[in-house]
Amino acid sequence: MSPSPVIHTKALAKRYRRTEALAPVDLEIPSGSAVALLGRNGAGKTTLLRILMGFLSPSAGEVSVFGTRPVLLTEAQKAQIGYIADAQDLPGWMTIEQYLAFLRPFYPTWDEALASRLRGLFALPRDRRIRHLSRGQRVKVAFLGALSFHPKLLLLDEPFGGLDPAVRDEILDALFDLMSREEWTILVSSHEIDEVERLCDQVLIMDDGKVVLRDERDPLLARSRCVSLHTAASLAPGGLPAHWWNPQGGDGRITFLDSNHEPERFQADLARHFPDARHLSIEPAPLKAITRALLRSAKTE
Amino acid sequence: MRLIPIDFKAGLPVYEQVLYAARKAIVSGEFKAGDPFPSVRALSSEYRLNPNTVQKALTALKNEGLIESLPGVGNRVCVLPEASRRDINLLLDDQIEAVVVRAKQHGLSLDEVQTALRHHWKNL
Repeated sequence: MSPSPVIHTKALAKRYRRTEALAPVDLEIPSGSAVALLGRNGAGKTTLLRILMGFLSPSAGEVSVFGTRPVLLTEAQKAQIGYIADAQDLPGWMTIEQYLAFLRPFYPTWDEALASRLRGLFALPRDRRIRHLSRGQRVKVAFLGALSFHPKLLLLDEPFGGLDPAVRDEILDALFDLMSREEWTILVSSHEIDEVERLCDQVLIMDDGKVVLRDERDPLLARSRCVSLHTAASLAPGGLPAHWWNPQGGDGRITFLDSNHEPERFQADLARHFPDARHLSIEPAPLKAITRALLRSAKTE
Repeated sequence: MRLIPIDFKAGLPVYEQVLYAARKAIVSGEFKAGDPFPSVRALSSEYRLNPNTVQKALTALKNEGLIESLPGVGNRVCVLPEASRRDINLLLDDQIEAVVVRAKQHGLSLDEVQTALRHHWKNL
């Protein structure tokens, strides 16, 4: 029997008055997965993460974290979750040292040696008040607090948003360094798709509160291609195969993302739709291109 | 620890890129039989890769008989195993045929393909 998933939802929904922030979402996230949660602003990513943390109650459906409804998580279970949010409130009047001393008693698994290693790695001055830190330093403090107790689950909501690339790199270095030694299950929402492409092994794309794609990263990359070609034909709306996402045309050049590339079928489809195709280019599609094409396709349907 | 060189390209499955780079490092003799082979942790933190992905690639290398894992010692490169008839046929028939098809599609000559083949053969 496979172990019970760390996160489970069934028909999970959230409404704010008339707005449907989460349409019924079914999710199973097994232990040890690292999931990239992608989508535009307002797609429901933050709502999902906040429900998982127990900050928001769902309007309908089931949700469990470590097999328990988030609002009923025990202190011991909460002490296994590391959470970082974009607009995280840290107590500005505390020094870094005071803040860490404040956190320590909440986490039985707090590892002082790890905390001090991370503080050194992030070059954080122990006696500086948090309010006097730069934005990048504050995010590093949040990571320091969220990683130092060997969390089993990491929920990261846009952790790299608005960070300078050097700071982002320092944080990513620390994450990759710890990742192979820790037993993390990670759910990370991010606009920095290139950064999470290698961090995660699974991809979950949301749009309008719905999960529009859920797949393992490598099979998804393996079957996706960016295609461009020259043709005299025009783009007939609705006529192309449904797995050709976001077809765009102009000046005799057409581009699309083949989201289920099989060479033989592709050649047959190509011969049918663009028999005069020239300068055909079929390139690997990075996760960013796949996400963009899927979301644009969804909007034009 | 010495790492295998990996030239990452965006959009290609990461698992396959790691596996390919490792095979290349071993068949080229850059990593010889008996040499220590990098750990999941070393590859994952150096190249910023999800450790599950690296683990999968190393498991495939073990299954192919290219590396072995010794308790307390770590990973080590094995003597290149003899290829099965099936693997040899797959390479000589299917995979080389696929290269010839692409080459003819791009209008290349047999000479050009042979030159490229010789070049890569020498470089590994």
